[in-house]
Amino acid sequence: MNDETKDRLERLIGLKMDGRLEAAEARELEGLLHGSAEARELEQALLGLRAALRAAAPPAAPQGLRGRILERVAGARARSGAAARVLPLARRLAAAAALLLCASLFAVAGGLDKVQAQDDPILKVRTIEDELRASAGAEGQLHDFLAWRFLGRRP
Amino acid sequence: MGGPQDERELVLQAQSGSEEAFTELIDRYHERIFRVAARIVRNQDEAEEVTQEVFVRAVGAIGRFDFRASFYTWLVSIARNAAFDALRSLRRRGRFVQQEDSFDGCAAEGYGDPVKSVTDNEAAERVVEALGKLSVRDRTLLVLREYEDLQYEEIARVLGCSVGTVESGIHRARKRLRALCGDLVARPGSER
Repeated sequence: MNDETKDRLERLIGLKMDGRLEAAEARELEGLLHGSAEARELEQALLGLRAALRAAAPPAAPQGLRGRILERVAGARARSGAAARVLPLARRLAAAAALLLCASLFAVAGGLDKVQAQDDPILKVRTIEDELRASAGAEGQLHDFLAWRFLGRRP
Repeated sequence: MGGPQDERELVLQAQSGSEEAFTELIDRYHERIFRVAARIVRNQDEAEEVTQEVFVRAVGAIGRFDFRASFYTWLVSIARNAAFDALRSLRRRGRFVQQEDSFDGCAAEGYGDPVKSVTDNEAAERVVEALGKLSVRDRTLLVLREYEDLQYEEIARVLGCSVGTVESGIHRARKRLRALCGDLVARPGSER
């Protein structure tokens, strides 16, 4: 039996053991088993393997496992209960803090505007340029002034 | 153990916050979950830790259980994740070895069949030993199929893969196990 056939056979035997063999596959398996002693040996090996696996005793659960699980679960419940009580409070506090911060920012911004408005008349110095721009018909003088101010040209 | 309807009722009650219902579910499944964990992690202490963790995770997530699978399959999915986490943690701590020591002798203990021959017990011990040498994934596949008797569809749900992947995975795992066991199980007549 070549490796490919052996692999196929092993797959079919596995499917049969797991109750998943379809009719066509069952016929194919039947044919393979009927014609080869090696195939029947492989089937025995796989059945033996499963039998040995299932013969192994299950690991015994340790004494007191149930109690320890209940304790851990109760602890988890208590923690999640505390979190359920604390979280809304924390959310409300965070929202209040955010509101306070926004209000402070507005207040500071408003205050700054106010101070700036108060300072404007004091700090604002009317320059020659402002005077010339404000005067009607002083375009020529303004041009001369700017040429002197920025380019150093004398009128 | 109650029927599926009874279990559905219990789960619904647990989802509504009934501690008694959840305790009943723990009573029903904790030993089976311990066995699955023990067979995957192969260490008694870690298996207990995994089992406890499974129910802690379950109590936090039971509200999201949607009855698409059985409750036990859902618990096994959690157990599988918790067991893999435990194995990763053991590896990180450098404490992971192929741990046969914790369950030495368990295969030889009675399994409800007093006339079982010594030879059968020896074979069982050797197969269990070989099972421990498989990769965690191969071992998990065989544990779920051979010990927990889960169907391919349920295993696919637990492992988060397709049924085809489960089928080929089980096939490969059996081949590897057979290779590790050599001629141990090639005895005619050992079928149960």
